[in-house]
This record gives sequence, C-alpha cells and structure tokens, in this order.
Amino acid sequence: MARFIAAMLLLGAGLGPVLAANLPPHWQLSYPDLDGQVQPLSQWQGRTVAVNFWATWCPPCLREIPEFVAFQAAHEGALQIVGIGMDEPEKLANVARTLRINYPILVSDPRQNLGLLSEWGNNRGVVPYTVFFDASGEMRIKHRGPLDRETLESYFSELQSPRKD
Amino acid sequence: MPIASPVKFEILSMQLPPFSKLAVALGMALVISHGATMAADAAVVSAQADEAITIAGPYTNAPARQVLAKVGDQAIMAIDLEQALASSPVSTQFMSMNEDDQARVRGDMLQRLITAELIYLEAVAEGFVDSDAYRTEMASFRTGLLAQAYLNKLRSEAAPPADVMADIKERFREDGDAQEAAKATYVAQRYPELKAARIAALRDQFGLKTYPERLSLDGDSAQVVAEGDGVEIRLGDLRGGLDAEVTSEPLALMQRRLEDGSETALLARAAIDVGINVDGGLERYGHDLASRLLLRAKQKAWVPDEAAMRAWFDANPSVGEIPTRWHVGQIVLKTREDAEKVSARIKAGESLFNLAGELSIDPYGREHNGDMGWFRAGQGLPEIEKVLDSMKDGEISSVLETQLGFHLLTVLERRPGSQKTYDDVHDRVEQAMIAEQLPDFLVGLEKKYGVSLDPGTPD
Repeated sequence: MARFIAAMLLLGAGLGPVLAANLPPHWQLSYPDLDGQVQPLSQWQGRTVAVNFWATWCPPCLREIPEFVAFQAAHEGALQIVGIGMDEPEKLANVARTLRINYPILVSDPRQNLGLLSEWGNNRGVVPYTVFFDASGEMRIKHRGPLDRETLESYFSELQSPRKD
Repeated sequence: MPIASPVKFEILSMQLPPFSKLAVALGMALVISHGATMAADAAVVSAQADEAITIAGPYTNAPARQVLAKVGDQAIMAIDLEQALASSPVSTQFMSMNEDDQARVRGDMLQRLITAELIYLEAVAEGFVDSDAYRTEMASFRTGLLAQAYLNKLRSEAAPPADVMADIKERFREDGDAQEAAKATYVAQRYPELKAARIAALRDQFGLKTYPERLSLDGDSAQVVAEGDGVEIRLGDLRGGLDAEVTSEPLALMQRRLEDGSETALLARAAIDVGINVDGGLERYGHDLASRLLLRAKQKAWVPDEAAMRAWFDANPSVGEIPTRWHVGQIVLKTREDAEKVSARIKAGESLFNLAGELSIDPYGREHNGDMGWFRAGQGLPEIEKVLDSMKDGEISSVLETQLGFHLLTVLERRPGSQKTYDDVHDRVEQAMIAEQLPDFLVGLEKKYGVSLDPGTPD
C-alpha cells in the first residue's frame, strides 16, 4: 500500500494518471501497477490493445477474467490486454494471483473511478467495461458489460482489418 | 484494543447459508469442535506429477481428482471442494482474499464436506435410505428434477436462432448488457407459447387422461386419477400433507395438484424419452435428504418436547440474559503520570474525546477520538466493566491501570441488562440444546468412520 500511495503522490497527489505530451489522448495516460511502478500505456502502442476496467467486488468482472487470460495466451504477441483495477491494490493483487492473470494490472485511484470511466467513454459508470484499440492506436470498440469468447474473437478479427467507413 | 473491539466476522460464519436451525447449530458446533483450521493447502499442493492433470479451478488450483480427505472409504476430491467453494456465498470475496485467508476458507469448507459425509454415512448405517419417507421423497424429487431438466431444454429451444442473434448483436453492438437483456426478452416472449404447445403435444403423445371426477378425500388411495403411457397418478399421491394445508376447499386443492402433477409427470416422461439423465443431481439430493432425515431424528431425540425445553431453560437461565450495554468513551495513556496530567486537563474543562484523538495510545481510540462504541458486559476486561458499572453517565473515571495501560473512562449512554422469559427465547433454547449435543455426536462419528487428511494419492 505504501508503494501505491507513493506512486499516487508521484502522479500528482492522487489527482490521476500522468499525461505525456505529443500522443493521442488515451495513449498519454499512465497508471501505477500492482508494485506501485508507474506504467505508461504508450508502451503497448503498436499492438491490438484491450483495456479492461474491473473491480474485485464485481462478479461478472471476475467471471470474464479467465476468458481474457485464455485469450491473452492464445494471441500472445499480437494482442495486449491491460486490466485497470478500480479497487484496493492488495485485493487486485490477490485476484491476479488467484486467477493467474497473465497480463498487466494497473491501478486506478478509487476516488477517481467515475470520472475515469467517463473519460474512457463510459458515462453509465458500470463495470466490466472494455475498450479496444487497433494497432494504429485508434480506439475502435467500447464494450459495456461482460464479454464472452465468441465476441472477443469477433472484435479481435475486426481489429486486425482496417476500419470500414 | 482494551474494550469495545469491533465485531469480526469469522470466515466460516460468512459461509453459513440460510439453512435450518439445525444447520446453523451445526456450523456453531464446527467452530467449537474444530477451532484450528486445517491446512488444506498442504494437501492441495501435493499433487502427483505423473497424473494427467486437469485443474479443478481457481478455488483449489489442484488436480480435479486429487484426494484431499477420506471419510471411511469415501474420498473427498479437489473437484468437490472446488464446486462447494464456487457455489458458496463467499465465492466472490474468496478471489480477493490473501493466501492465508484462502487457506482458512478451504480448510473450513473441507471440514464441512467431511462432516456432511460423516452424517451421510451414519444416515445410511441407521437405515434412513431404506425408509419409506426417503423413497417417497426421492421418487417425487426425481420426477421434479426430470421435469425441470426438460423445461430447461425447452427454454434453450426458445433461445434466439442464429439470424436473430446476429441482428441483436448488430443492434446492440458494444453493449453486452443490452444484448443479454434482448436475448432474455426474446426467450420470455417465446417460451410460454412454446411450453403450452409442447405440453399439449405431449398429452397427445403419451395419451394422458385425467379423471377429476374420481377425486375424493376418503376414497381408495390406489385409485388411479391420471394415466398415460408411462405416467400414472393415484389418489394417494395427491393427498400427502393435505391435512396440514390451510384451506377450506381441500377438493379444489386436490384438483390443482392433479393438474400440476400430471403436467410435471408428462414433462418428466418426456425427459426420459429424450434421454435426459439426472442421476448426478439425484445422488446429491439423496445425500442431503438422508442427512436431513437423520438430523431430524437426532433433533427429536435431543429436544424431545416442550417439557424438556422448559427444564433446560430453568437449569440454564443465562440463555435469556441480556447483558448491560455501555456506550463508552476512553483515553489510554502509557504511564500513570501521563494519565493524571490528562485527568487534570479534563477536570479543567478540556474534552476527553479531543484529547483521546490526540494522545490515546490505543490506535482505535485515537482514530475514533475516544468513542469506543457500544459493548456488552462480559466482552471487556473485568476491571474496566466494574468501573463502568459503578459510574454515572457523563462522569469521568479516576485513573485505572490494566495490562494495556492507564485508562480514563466515561459512559455516554447505557442500556441496562434484563432477563427474557422462556417464551421470548424459545428458539434459542432449542438451538442451545442442539448445540450442546452436536459436538460429541460429530466426534463420535469421526471415531466410528475414520477421517484421513493425507491420503495424497489421486483416485
């Protein structure tokens, strides 16, 4: 917890993620990971990225995580899932251990959750919520509610091809 | 913290489902007789390397067929523990617990599975699975289970076909919740019609005939009131528990039972016809039923009648005792000298609560500005309770030394103790009488059947 607090202080007295210059808005964000190390999202730019917002008290979130774990393992290299946990870091770490989560879990300051979700296009403020970026860095899909394997597969294959306008 | 510790929930008590009173007492007895938690983890990690390993799931992370315990000849495997935890009320919280708490929860649940198996073995030994009550209820449950399984199948037939599903996914793209709601709405609209049509078809298929004119309260129990291919309902089947029902029109009730019962029998018959198998569910229910019948008999033996309960209450009146409760303010200092100085400051007009927030060496008290909340007689240190009992509300105590430090106390409010009557605590007497007998009963079963916790070898 101490390291988490230290990281939040580094992020500007808990006011939220760090913004970096000269990148599209969401790629400028950084969040602390479970060890309190600040992780810029930009490090994953260039891959298909799924950012999953979840909380330990949310049963549908916990139910879909094993799908993400299997999906990450099946598409290692082409896909990067990033979890953003909206909860206490200790609890998030326990879930990550229990469900053997094989992708990074970042931590949102719980006081900022509603604003954060809205910033990511989720005005209803509900979790689970998952946002998908294609390899060019464009946000293409914002999915509210739990995801099943079939929908994940269809989104992933859609993201492999250029946007149809 | 010296007094008024906040109540902590034991993991086990969070798991207690709303079972019968006996099951609650059973849980209590488990806490009493098995206070120490078994390290289920130890058994879980000793998986044999050469086994074709299928992990049971996240609650155990052990090979599904890893044997965790043996009760008599019956093995309790990781998959049993996994399923018990996954369907327990603690299933969500489990994920975010630390490793020690998870081990404790696994241990508690394994202990429950062991106890359940012991009770079942005893129920079998005592002949409860051969009783008429068991056979009748199992037959009726099997019919219900088959009918339910057939209805579930019907419900899945009412699910949106591929083209409708594709349309739903397109219309509610990126909104999983709305997709689920649209699917549910589709099923809800289609299912009743499908069900009515299917039941009519089954009625024809199995040639079901009902004879409501044969219904009577005193007719021959063997009288057939509904029949068809593989379906038969007799008058006796409709009269069970009729005298216990509160109704002024028992014949009308039998009529409804005939309608519902023949529908259920038809659905069960159809389930058998399409090869639906409910043996697994039936076996689980049989375990549960036999155990319930045994425990009901034990309960009758341990709590025979009102006279026995009254006698027990007379011998143990403390079961109806409501202790005095105090709402307490407190500051704790390290030395008598410090406490005397603070006492002088309070006498000079400063607030005990402000000073506690600043100076108390008790972290809870400091955090809560000396407001320790409510606690009841018997929970705290006796020397503190003695002082509280002798003080007037609002008064500040003189310095009191305990092993925790030097206290200054005040009572904000109090609720005096009282004694409840037998009628007030009737249910509690029953529970206490059961709780008194249960630990020895369980220990006896453990000796009789044998419990081994380190079998180690997968089945």
